Amino acid sequence: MKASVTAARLLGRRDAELVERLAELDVSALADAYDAHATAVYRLSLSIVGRQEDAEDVLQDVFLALVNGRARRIRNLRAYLLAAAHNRAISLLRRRKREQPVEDPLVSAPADCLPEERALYLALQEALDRLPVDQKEVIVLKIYCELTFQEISRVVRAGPNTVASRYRYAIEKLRRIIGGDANEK
Amino acid sequence: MKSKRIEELLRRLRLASPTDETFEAKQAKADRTEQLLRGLRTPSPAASVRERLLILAHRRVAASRRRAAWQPAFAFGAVIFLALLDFWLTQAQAGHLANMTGFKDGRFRFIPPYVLEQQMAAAMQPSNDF
Repeated sequence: MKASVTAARLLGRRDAELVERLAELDVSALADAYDAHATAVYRLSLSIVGRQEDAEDVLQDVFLALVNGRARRIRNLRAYLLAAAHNRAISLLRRRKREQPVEDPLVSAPADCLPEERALYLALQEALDRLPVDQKEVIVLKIYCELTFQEISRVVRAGPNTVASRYRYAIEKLRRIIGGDANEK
Repeated sequence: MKSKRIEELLRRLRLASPTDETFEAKQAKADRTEQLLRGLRTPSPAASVRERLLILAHRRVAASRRRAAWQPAFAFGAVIFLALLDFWLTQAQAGHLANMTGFKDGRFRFIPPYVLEQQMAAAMQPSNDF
């Protein structure tokens, strides 16, 4: 617990330094911020838009917007980037509503899994892709971006209790869809 | 009597507490699902996105620096222009330049050059008032 608090504090300090450098239009700071947070932003975008090209566009827009000289106002860089990605991805999804979406899988089975586990992972992958967007993004933010419910609530602009409920519903649904397999192992 | 009531309340609390077996079993199942989710591979953005982003950022920063360098000159020019405009309009309103510009009574009117010439010639004529 203490180690995670220290790690969070160190990450916070690193992000504060990055924000200072970004405010001075330092492009190397943008590269550092990208290396630190791009994967999380990309995963969240992909969970909403469902297409790799669109998720990459959102990712690029979000990071490019950092070099506008107004970065000094940012207090929590990770939460800011994820919130920006959420907003852009949602508006992109609204614009694209009429088109037929081409879904790219959000997750895939690990390469080194046992053959008997593969079916379970595939079922989980399909189940995750079938979740509603608001539940899927909470799962991604909680499990793959390791945010707390409080932080997630700021990203998706919903109350912490709502976010916790979405997470619980999503886990319940996944558990139901993948059946007893997950629980017997 | 009072202690019995407290005991009863405590027993009820114990039944509803998260330490009962059902809750633990449910939690274990949820934990297992979370564990499986964590085991899945998640994609990362292509390396080309980083390169493209940095090229675009370099361009944007260069443009922003250029803009910032020209900003004081633009501001100075704007102030000079406004001062001149203000001076000119003041003069026109006072009547000195009204004929030249056609600015009269808050409106601009085109006055052909020959009319201006006639007006100036009339102004040059000696007065018969005395």
